[in-house]
Amino acid sequence: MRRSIGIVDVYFAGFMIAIVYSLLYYFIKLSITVELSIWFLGVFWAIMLLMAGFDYRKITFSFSQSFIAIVSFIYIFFILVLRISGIPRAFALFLFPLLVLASIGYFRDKINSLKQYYESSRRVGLKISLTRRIKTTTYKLDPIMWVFIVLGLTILVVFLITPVLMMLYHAFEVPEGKPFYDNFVRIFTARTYVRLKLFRSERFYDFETLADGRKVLVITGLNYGILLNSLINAAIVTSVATFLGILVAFVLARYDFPGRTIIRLLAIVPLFVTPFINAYVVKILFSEYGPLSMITEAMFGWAIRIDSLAGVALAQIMAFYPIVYLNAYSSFINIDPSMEEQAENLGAKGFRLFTSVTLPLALPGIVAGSILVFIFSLEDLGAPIIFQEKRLMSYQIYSSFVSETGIVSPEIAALGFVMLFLAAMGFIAIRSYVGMRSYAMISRGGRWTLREHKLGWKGLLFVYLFLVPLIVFTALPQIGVILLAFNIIPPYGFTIQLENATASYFLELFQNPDVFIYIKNTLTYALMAVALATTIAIMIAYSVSRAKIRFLTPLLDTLATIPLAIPGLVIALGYYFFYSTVFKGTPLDPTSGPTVFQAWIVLVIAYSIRKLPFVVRSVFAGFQQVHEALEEAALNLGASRSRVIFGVILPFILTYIVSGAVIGFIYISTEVSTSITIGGLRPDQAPMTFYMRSIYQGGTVTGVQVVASMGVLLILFQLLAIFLIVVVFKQRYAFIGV
Amino acid sequence: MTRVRLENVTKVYGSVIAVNKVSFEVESGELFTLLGPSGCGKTTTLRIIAGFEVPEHGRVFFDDEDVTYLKPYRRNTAMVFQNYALWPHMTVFDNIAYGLRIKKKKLGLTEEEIKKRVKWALELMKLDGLENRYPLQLSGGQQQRVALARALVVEPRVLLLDEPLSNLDAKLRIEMREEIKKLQKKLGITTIYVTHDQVEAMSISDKIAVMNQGKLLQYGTPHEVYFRPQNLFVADFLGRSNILYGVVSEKQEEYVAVHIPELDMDIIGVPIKQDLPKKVAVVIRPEIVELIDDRKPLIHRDNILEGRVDIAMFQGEKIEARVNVGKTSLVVYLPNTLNIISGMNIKILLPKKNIIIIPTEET
Ligand SMILES: Nc1ncnc2c1ncn2[C@@H]1O[C@H](COP(=O)(O)OP(=O)(O)OP(=O)(O)O)[C@@H](O)[C@H]1O
Ligand SMILES: [Mg+2]
Repeated sequence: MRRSIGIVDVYFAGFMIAIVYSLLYYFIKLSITVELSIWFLGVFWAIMLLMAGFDYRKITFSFSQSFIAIVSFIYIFFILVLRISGIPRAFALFLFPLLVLASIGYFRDKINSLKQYYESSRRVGLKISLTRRIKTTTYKLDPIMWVFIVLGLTILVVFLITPVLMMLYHAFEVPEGKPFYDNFVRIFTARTYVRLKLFRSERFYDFETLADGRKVLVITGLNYGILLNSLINAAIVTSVATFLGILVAFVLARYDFPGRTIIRLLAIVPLFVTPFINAYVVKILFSEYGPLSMITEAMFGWAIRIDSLAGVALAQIMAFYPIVYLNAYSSFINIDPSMEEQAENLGAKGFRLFTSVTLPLALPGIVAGSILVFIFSLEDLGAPIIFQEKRLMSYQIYSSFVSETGIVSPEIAALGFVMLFLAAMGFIAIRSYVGMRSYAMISRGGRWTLREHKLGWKGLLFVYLFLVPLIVFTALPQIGVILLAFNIIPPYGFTIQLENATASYFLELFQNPDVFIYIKNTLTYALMAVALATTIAIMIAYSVSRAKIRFLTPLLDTLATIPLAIPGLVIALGYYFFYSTVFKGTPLDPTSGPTVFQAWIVLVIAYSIRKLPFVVRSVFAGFQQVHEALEEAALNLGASRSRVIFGVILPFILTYIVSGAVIGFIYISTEVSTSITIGGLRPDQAPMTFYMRSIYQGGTVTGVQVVASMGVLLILFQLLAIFLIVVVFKQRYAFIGV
Repeated sequence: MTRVRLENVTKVYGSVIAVNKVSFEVESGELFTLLGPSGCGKTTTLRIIAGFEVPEHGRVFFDDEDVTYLKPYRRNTAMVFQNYALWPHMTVFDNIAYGLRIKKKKLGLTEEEIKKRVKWALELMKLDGLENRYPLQLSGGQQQRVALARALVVEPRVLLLDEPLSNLDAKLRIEMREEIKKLQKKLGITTIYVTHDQVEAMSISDKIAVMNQGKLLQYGTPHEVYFRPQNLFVADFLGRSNILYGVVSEKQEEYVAVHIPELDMDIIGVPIKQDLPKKVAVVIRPEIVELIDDRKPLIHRDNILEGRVDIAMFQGEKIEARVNVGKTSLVVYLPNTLNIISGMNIKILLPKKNIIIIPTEET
């Protein structure tokens, strides 16, 4: 019998090319033509496999295969631009046939469906005249729909697409006589960005002796250059966060043990946004004054400090792993129990059951969470600023705003472009594969009783000795913020001093006009931005849910979602270039100086666009609640479209709209990236997060307790929001990225 | 009163032709039914008439006015949706009054008059006393009547009903269909009714249009489509039929003899049109079959079959039997007074005036 060509053959093909490459590379010098032919060999192999009957849909249909294809795309891209050779390149060649097959498959599917469409419309023998086509489309659009669509599109194109494009444009701005891609050459080759060869003396950790004679083990991580540091950091944070997230989610979703409810609540504490100050708490927890050092000093005689890159990674893991946890948790509890029962029925159990049924079914949700963590880690500023880690992309972009000149260089724009590229790849992966989320939810309708087991003693030991401490531990930053705010722990060391507790720092927020101005700014901006975002969201959500125009409505839908995927720093850069070009010489020009520049207008617009997806999502859910027939029934009785929208629909989904607005308010008031960059260009108009960043001023720490009090204020906002949404409006509170 | 006319109406969704060159005319005051299997385009046709969709081809006329591109809220049709589409946040009264309030200015109505008309609709639909309830507090049948009242109260030119009874239980369905029929006659309102239930369609309609895969296959009175189906699909879809294939062997004046290889004999019947092709199908409704009593003299000579009862099922009002004849078998309905059991040999007659002969090739 003939064996059908499978995925093994694809890897075999890749293996062959990799071998060929390695032999040539290590024994004969490679010329550019030979090198090119090897890559062509990859394409050739892929085409051969296809002709021999490889079903490329295996890649499109299989989640893990297509995921590997996307990862290999990013990997190969970097191998090529960074001109890395040797084993890493051999590995790239190993992955190459799979990538080629996946892309051929993708395009063939696209072409086929187009062909099918035209063929079937030809088979129909229907020639629909253009005027008739236009008439059909416009018929469905009442004037108000037109206003919604055109206005919504215009706003997004002007304030989202154009700024990003302007940043791209500036990324290609080069000194005279250099090739147009010069900035990128620098980013991919200069030693500050990419250091593949480290000094012999460089180590992951080191011992240091403090002024008072104490010995400290300092864990710093290795510096591979700005670009690679960011990538490595994001990769580590994503993997660890994913592992922890799945572990915690699985135990909490499937096992019952005393105290589970509390643990479940505690597990989401890290998602309370307290910019900067939570990373600060992580820093002191892992400093030579922290609790861990007390233990190691007692045991080994030296203290421990986690700093620099390692510190950033640690702080980010603690802050972001609940994103994976929440996604994984909801995936696990959404799996139809009968799927697992069926597998058990056939004899699978334990780890086998988990890897063969549970994990594959939950994977789309989990991966969505992981990719979000990847994006957040790339663009995060809190941890890098607190750990004063400048050798990261995000810090570089940020610091260009606070430079003496206040002028952002094209090289930074190019850096922004790279960051955007990475985030966009992740986003595309989510968009293409989260649709597969649905397969985890094939149900027979109705609620099912969750599959829950009691834990055995081994399990209980694991939960109470490892899991619970872990969860409590990751909640420490937020708890620490509260303790700091009321001066229960001192700003540097780590001792609980209940006798020093005071609310004076918290009160200072409102009594000290120099501090209160920031709170006032944040509140005013957030209110304005929320009003703006809600208006835009209603227009977009309504158009997307009701007008079904090819290309146009899907485009609007995508545009309204991508702000989630565009790093805030890219928006900040884009806005900088946009306003300094289009509004040159007006008070909206960021380069017009810290007394003229009207930062608040730029900030309000940036906020409403950046956080639009959260509002749109909620409003859209509202419109979906209302069956279209309800609306048609009103139209049928003679009500005009606007009358239907404002008279029947909006009042009906008011709770969704308000929920969206409240969530928008929370994410706007905790926004960091544009606040401290654009806002930093006009300090007296800057919001709270800008003030919170100033905890580190010129390398020294000041006003920790006041900043922590601001953190507490933000936590209070968030608690209030959750209460409003969950208890009053009976909706779901959308934690960031969930 | 309004006539509705569709001319070559075609609606395409991507690569699916939901409605394919459909033309028909509904006389004013008529109850017209669109009948067909699921997915054949009934709802789409109705939505085109209501103005929720526009056709890619063809036109829609109300009387002689071209309404193809008239907005739904200017057509003055009233549609009853399959799921009723009652607004859950309005009371029964507000739901019914909605259409009148929208048109209040145009019609110069006062709140007093609106109240009166809603009362009228409530009474008409036997809903009195329920006006302050919310839709979710009503039973399925009551919700259905509210939807109907909401449609009727605005005195529409055309009433459009999309499977209005499909959510009700069997008994209520029969009651309501009688009520709709009575009401429609009383108000004399042009009505287009969508259903996939052929019994429902035949019991209430003045005219039936049978659709399949977007095409309108035949339309006429229930009697016409039942006894004179123009093609096999219609014959098969309406009622039960035995279909035998054969070739025309002889043409007489109004009858045609068809040779059926499976029976190895000729069956005589009425052709649906003059110029039949060679290959045809013979449609035999189970209820036209007569049992021949050997003790009585034969009047007919044609269409007599001998067979053996394979299975006989007593069904109360009739006996349904499957009879093996030749190399095939026929389903026949026999009077419940007979004593028919499995394994019996019987002789049956197929009265030729009730046998329909249809071309097999689609023309
Ligand atoms: N909005 C739409 N987009 C794409 N295809 C559609 C749409 N509406 C209907 N169709 C397709 O058009 C065809 C006819 O649909 P329609 O709803 O008119 O059927 P129907 O006769 O009412 O069926 P049923 O008895 O199940 O209600 C179907 O194949 C359906 O899939
Ligand atoms: Mg339908």
